[in-house]
Amino acid sequence: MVIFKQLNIIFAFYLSGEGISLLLPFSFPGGLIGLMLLYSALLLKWLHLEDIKLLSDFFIKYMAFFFIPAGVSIISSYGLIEAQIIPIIGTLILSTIFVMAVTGLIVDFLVKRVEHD
Amino acid sequence: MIELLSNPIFGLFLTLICGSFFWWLQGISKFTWISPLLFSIALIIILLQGLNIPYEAYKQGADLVHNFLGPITVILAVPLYEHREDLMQHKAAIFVGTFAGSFSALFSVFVLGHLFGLSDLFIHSLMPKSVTTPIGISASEILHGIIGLSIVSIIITGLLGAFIAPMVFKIFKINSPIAQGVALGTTAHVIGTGKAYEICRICGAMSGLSIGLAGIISIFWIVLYSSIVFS
Repeated sequence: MVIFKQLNIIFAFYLSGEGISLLLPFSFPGGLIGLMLLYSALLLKWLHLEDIKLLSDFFIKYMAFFFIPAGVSIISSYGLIEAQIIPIIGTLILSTIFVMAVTGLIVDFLVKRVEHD
Repeated sequence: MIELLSNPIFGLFLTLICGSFFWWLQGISKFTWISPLLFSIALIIILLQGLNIPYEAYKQGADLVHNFLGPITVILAVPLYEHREDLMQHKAAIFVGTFAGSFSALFSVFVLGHLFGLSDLFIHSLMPKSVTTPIGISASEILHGIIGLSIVSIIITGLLGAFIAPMVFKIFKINSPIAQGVALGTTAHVIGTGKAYEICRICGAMSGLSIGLAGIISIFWIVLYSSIVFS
């Protein structure tokens, strides 16, 4: 019954988020609205971590499993991608180095400035 | 035969059996470089193509798994909540870092993609590459990208980020564990966080909370960008 109860809670937050997303004048993922609702509920103590802990630990540990179908969907557009593979990989490598350096340097600077004060 | 393959349980079973095999293999082999996700995707593609199974037949059952991504996005609130004290302690550095990091991810793909001569469709598919997968899929949908390409680019970026991190930190002299954690989580999401926990606990915690934060902030940038491009 614990699993049923925790699933019900998680689905309720998700569907509430999707519901609110439908009412918005622009497109914004319902899952993210659900995330903010759940975070608020935890912060306001309407919900306790133990109420969802069992399932949330499971889903976070095996989260990547749920990405498999989306990854497999690449076969329906493989022909399109094949010809562009070099520029795609080049963009990914350079951009990853850039983002890592920018984020690290900014946070490093801010943290050291605070420690210096 | 096609009737059996069109049964939704077929796609569900194929996903489950490939996934459980590679996660089991990773568990017993301790090779952290094995990406069970990437290996599962590759094996399923090989099986579908080798046995001439139509993708549509697989998709019926696979969608049962895929539809859990929405609820999983909601669950990302839990690590964010668990690490709220670490977050509050360094809030300025973390917010500015994830804000700038997610912007530089989108901006660098936009610029590099144009330099490499990629079409808008590809650039939009690669833009969510640093965003954690459940949120990245929403990002790809908003940008009208190729979702399969977005997923694969997210996984490659994660592996690449974890791999190059020690070199980048050394070259740019990024030595605070907080900065290393935020950089890993913002750039390489869950896979980067695994690497961050190898460095130190605080580095891992910082990385873990940066995933959700960078994901949320990226969506704001992407909604803003798409309202300009698609209007």
